[in-house]
Amino acid sequence: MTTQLVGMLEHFRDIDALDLSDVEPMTQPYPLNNVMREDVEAKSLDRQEVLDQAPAAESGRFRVPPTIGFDV
Amino acid sequence: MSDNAALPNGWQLVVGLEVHVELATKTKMFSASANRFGDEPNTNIDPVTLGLPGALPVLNKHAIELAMRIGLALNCKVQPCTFHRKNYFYPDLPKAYQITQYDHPLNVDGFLMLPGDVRIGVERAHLEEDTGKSTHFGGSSGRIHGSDYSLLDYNRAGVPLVEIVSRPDIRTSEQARQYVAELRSILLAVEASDAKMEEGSMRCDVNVSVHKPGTEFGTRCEIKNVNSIRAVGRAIDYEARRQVDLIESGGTVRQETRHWDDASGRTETLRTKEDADDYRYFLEPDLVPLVPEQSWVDRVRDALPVLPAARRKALAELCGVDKDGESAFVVVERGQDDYVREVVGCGGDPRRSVIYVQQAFAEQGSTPKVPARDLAMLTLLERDAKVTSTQAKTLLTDLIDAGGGDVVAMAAKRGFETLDTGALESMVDAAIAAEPGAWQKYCAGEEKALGALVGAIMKSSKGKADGKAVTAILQSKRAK
Amino acid sequence: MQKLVEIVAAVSSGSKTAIAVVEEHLARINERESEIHAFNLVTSDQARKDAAKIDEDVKSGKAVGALAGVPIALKDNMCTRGVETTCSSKILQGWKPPYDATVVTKLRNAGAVIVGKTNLDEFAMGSSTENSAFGPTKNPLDVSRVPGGSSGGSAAAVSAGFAAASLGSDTGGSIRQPAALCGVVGVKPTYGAVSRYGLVAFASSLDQIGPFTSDVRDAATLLEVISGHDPMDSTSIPQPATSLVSVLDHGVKGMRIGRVTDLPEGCEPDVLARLEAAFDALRVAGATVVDVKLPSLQYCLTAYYLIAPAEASSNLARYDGVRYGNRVDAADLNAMYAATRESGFGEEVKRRIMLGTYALSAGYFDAYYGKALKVRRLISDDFARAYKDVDAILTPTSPSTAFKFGSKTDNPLAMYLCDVFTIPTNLAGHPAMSVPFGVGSDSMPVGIQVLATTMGEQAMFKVAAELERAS
Repeated sequence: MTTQLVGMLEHFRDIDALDLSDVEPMTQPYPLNNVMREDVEAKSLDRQEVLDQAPAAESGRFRVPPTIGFDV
Repeated sequence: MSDNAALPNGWQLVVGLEVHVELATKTKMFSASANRFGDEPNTNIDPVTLGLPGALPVLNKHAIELAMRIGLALNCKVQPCTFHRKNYFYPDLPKAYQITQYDHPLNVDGFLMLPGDVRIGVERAHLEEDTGKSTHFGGSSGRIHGSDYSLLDYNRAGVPLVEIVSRPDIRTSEQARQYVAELRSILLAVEASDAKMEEGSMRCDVNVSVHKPGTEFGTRCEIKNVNSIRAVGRAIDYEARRQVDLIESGGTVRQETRHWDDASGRTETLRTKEDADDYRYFLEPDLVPLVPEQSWVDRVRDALPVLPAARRKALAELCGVDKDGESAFVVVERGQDDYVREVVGCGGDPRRSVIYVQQAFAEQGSTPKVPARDLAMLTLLERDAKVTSTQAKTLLTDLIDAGGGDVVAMAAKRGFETLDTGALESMVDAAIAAEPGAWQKYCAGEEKALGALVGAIMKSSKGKADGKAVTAILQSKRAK
Repeated sequence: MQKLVEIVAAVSSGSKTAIAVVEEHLARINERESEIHAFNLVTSDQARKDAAKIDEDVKSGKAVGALAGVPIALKDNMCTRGVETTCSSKILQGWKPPYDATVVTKLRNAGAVIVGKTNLDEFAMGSSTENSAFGPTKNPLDVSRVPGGSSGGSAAAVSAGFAAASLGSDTGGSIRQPAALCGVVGVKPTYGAVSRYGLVAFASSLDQIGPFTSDVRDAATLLEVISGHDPMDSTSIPQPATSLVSVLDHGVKGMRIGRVTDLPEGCEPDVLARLEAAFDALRVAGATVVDVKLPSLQYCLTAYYLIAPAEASSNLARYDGVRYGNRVDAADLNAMYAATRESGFGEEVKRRIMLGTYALSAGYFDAYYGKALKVRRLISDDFARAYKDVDAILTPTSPSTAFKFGSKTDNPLAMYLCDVFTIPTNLAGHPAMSVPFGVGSDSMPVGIQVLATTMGEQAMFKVAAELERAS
């Protein structure tokens, strides 16, 4: 896997040759601004339906193994 | 209570505060589930909240409005902004990334004024989303280390947050506490949040470093789990001292995150994961830029209420008290400054008006039941020496208990009459004649003798003499 | 096999029952599915129920939708409430979403009959469907060959007559390339034209849902139903669906069609020959062919294979075994994450996550991801210049016809080259579609790709309809 990844990264160096200092990055294919919604409540998902799909659940919550160390 | 005098050898404290505030919206930042504290676990959930495959975020317009209120109240510039993903793994982070703002936040370059006209810079106030809540079970300390498992509730996941980052302009723990208190008043005044530290709707992370003036700032440590204004002060005091002691004994301060333990009064290192620091920030492709129209910003600014600092200043000017003093603080905090203004408007003595309200109206709320003109009358009675201060205090209690009333009549009912100056003079002369020994001692400079003379006059007048006025007469007689 | 529009006409008029239609399709599935493996799940019981309901409505004179009775297959990366959605990955095997994707709701409201969830390259990463955790799909026209990918199952389902139409998703060519290899029509709309809500994300700024059909009219009909603004998707274009069926007979007289003079190398000669034939056909129909240059094309593969994995590495981080999907238990959380993802993800997915994480990491961001975003701007500008001069552009869809199984699996780069003609339009956010146009020297179908500018679907469909008439 590592060999393949290194090979791919080598191939990708073709863009190194380009002078892109004057080029603006393109992050949005379609220019949109200010998409928002009104602060109106919608019905929650059904808790049971969701927890039925959980790998482990208890007391209405998702259950996971402990973290080693404190939470940050 | 503490200040830099506590740090030895010329060390100076540098503090910056990061305050996270939950916004008072009906729904979450990026989805329409309810934003409500205290509901049954996992009952305010949707695909976005749970980070389900295929879910997409949509911005909450009211959250933006509230965030703008906060920014404008902190004198920030509101600017076009974007959202970024902050990527890390933790079970309370359902998408394994938090949507936040990175290099283009909504509000920048503001400030907040502390008492004494100390200006603390606000670098930014940006929007982001809150995480879920994990509860840990099995470990004896109740903290994670050594516990058997954790349970996750995602009701809080996605609640809108504003993160307010101060510049490192704070120099004492007292200033830090004032900053947090003032910020809280502002948040309440603009109705952006209920800002309850004890419920977690306002959370402080404190960055502390020490240095000698004229040198670069030292390495800073971030302190988490500071859950009250008092803890802010205590944590800073402890941490500053810890760092000074460490450096002076030859050690170096390591840049790290520490946990404040309120019970023991100490900060402790948090064992963080190895590469927790690289969050691989990149622009959130599921959202588009937010460019608030100038007309919207102007509307929000125009609708801002008069902020606490301005209200204290106005009250102080009206009543002749210190704008940074306790009476101004307390009365504005309670929302009773408009009432005081009303009392003054009815002719009440300004200084006495604010002090009476400060001292006696703690239970009254922002709309006191005592009619303003009744309180005004009481202040005038005391000012004009128609009642003594002691009598005025009693009448004040009566007024509050009765919810108002005719103070003159109430004074008469109590049998309070003050004696006029002529009557007082003759009483003083009589006392001097009756107690020549005490009078001689007093004239010779023994201040204690004054008490005997005043006491005699009070007794003979059955309490109707104004102690202050009597003292004044005795003093002026002695001076002659 | 009936066209979509014919089915709708027959069912809504009552001349044929939806049940009869669905039974025909289920019979074909029964006959060849074990050989083709187009589906992860065939939902025959529910399909029959849905068909019966349509027939009831027709009988009682109730209005039925624009897709009444049409058997449709859905790529298994679109959320269907209560119906297993796996993305052909072990990590989601058995997962039933608690909600429907917007497109699914639109299909149901239009009276479509969903017959099943189709196979794909795991998490839509691949060009042959060989990366599926549940085994590959075979090309119905030659079962020793791949159907293309990542939407191989959806393409095969239409090609084999298992469904009258299907939906796929396209991030770098995953609709168009399998359409070309299976001899069907496949469309990737303008980015934002079709809602992504409920589409399991691969690369958020590139993904789009689109139709597979047996002809251009069916594609236009289906695309009209699934397009349009969705308030649940912030990147959704704030406009209603473009009218497409109405322009199909307009022809191409007077249109200017671009021919790319600096096309990347590696295209098979028989494919290039079909491209020339396509240009000839359009000339005969009254269009002018104009040379255009797209100098940044040669960098598109690199830009795509930095941007897509970067976004994917973030989108796939949520598969941690905490809330849904398959978990591998461990003593502590970090061990659980590692074990769950190690066993749940296939090799290609892991490869792209690693690549993407690297491209975003501190110190490398500007060199890789940052630069790739600038290349994206370059190709967008190249297209903008070209479209000042032309109404549409033609290229081959795929450099070759359907290749044999296992012929590209040893070298990921060779597989990535399959998408060299399709990737540029994903980067630019433009629409493009593949139309079958003859066969190659091996008698396997060749697809011609029609490209247009943002929201240029009408021009694109006019050209596609003409090509179809001439093919």
